[in-house]
Amino acid sequence: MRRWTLVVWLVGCGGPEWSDARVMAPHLEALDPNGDGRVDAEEYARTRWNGPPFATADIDGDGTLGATELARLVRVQSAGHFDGGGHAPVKLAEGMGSKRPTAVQHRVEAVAWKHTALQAAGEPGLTRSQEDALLAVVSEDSPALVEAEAAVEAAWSGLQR
Amino acid sequence: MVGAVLSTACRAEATRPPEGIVVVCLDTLRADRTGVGGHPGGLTPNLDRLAAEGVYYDNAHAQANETVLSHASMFTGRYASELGPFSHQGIPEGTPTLAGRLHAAGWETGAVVAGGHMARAFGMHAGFQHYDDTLDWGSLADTGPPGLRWVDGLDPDRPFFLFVHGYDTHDRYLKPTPFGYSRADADHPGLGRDLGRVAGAVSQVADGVWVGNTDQLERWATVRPRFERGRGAAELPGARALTDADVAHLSGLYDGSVAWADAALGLFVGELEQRDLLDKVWLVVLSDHGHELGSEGSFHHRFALTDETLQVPLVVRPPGGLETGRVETGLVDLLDVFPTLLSVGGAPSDASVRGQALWAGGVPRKPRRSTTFAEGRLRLLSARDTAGSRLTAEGLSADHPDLVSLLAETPVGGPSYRLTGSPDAADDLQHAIVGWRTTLAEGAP
Repeated sequence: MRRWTLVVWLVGCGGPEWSDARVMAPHLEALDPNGDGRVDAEEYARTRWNGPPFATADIDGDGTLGATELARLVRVQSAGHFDGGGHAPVKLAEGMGSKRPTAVQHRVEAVAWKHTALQAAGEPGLTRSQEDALLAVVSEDSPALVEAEAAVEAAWSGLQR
Repeated sequence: MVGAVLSTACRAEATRPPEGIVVVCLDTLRADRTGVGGHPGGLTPNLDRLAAEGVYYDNAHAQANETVLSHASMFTGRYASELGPFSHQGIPEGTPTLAGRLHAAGWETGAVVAGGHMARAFGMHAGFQHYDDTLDWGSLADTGPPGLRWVDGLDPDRPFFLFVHGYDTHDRYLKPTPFGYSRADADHPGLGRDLGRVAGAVSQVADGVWVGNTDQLERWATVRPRFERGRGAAELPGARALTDADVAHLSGLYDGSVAWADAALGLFVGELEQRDLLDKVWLVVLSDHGHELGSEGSFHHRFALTDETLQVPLVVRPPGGLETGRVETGLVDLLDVFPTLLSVGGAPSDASVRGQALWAGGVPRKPRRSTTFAEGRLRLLSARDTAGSRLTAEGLSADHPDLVSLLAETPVGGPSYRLTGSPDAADDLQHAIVGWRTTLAEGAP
């Protein structure tokens, strides 16, 4: 009876399907080139793991790391593993548009969009100097913007026809 | 046989009201890096195990290519551009959210996120009673445990919704990751090595070169499709070209971060199991967007709308898991997560929610979507069909007043429209984009 209880526990739902050892075992393989099922000090050094010294990670002091020791490393080391400086701040997606009022930005986009389509159709669009001037536009009354709009508008109407 | 019978007996009834919903977001994880998604490198054994106990959506796509927009869309069931001016980042105050709806239906709602663009400043906390954003660019290994401690303190008679999130595979993976150079050559020389040692440095790679000045790069990326004429990022001052070996090295570091994220995921699931929750909760694992990893010369995700930046892993595991996992190849959106979780949680939905419920009555439904759409803040809009063809409009803001007419009047074929896949799909995809934006402009559901 006791044996059946054990079998039920093993094959049923009572076992720790997601034990530390089972979770980490496949990842250990990648850190274990010699395939002996443990990560030794040399293997640990080879990966240049961004973690604590090997002796600290080797909790049981047997000279190797097993899956449960790796699990502990993930838990204790994670906090702050991204910090330490040296990273570029993530810029929010502003781009050149943020430097313009929205209405101006939309006019610039429309000119640029049409210019690109005209070029693709073999029509003359903006000149390179007009492109450069358009990129610098920040105000609604900019002569460069008005000129660029005029330059593409007639050709755009022709493209539509 | 005995095991199968017992296993069946132990699985919870997916149709009964769940005790909880747990969503794990592994930020910036590409679908093609998962084993179930086809990667041969054994990077995600734990995610693959979950997939084998649920449904893996093999054709799942984000609606935006950056964290703040994608989460805003997922949390609200709307496209990000519907939430106000597209320049606004996040969820405006007062916007109905998934967490808010679940809470209104009697659920406890909590989230522990890894900071960055998931911070309260972006409105992501809307609807959550508990929202912990104190970490700054943390790992799932950091956010999972406090998330579960929050669950520990709840009234066990009330269902809960927990959202946890980690930046393990974001471009900060390079520094290197805690798994170090397990998938990359630590002695690789040159620029790739240098970039791999500075977290975030790869985000300054575009057009195959590293550009030190981020302002220059942003400006170039914004105007690139319109004013090419041979002026690539390589012409920017101080640009340094990456070699193929550099790209491979950086991709190897990314793969190491994927393995690290998977380890954190497995340990988190183990914690659920220890709490006797794994058979009682719906568990969803997903990512908010992908990563270019050198495709088209970039190591970011904001510069393009492509399968690399938009196709994400999505696993839905019902309480107790399925006897046999399924791989669903139909096209699904992250927008579908919203109505799916409302459905499994027994909370009401309405026509304002754009997605489709992927499960009903505890049973997976066949996706009916024929096209997926996405938005990018760098003036990008795209439509992709079930066969994998994609048309991207490059150069118009999503809130441009003449957007629909410009999209409709411009012939496909020039650099304004970029087509990948079958040329035969171009017209249909253009019609799809125009129809999509027309629908949104009219405010129709």
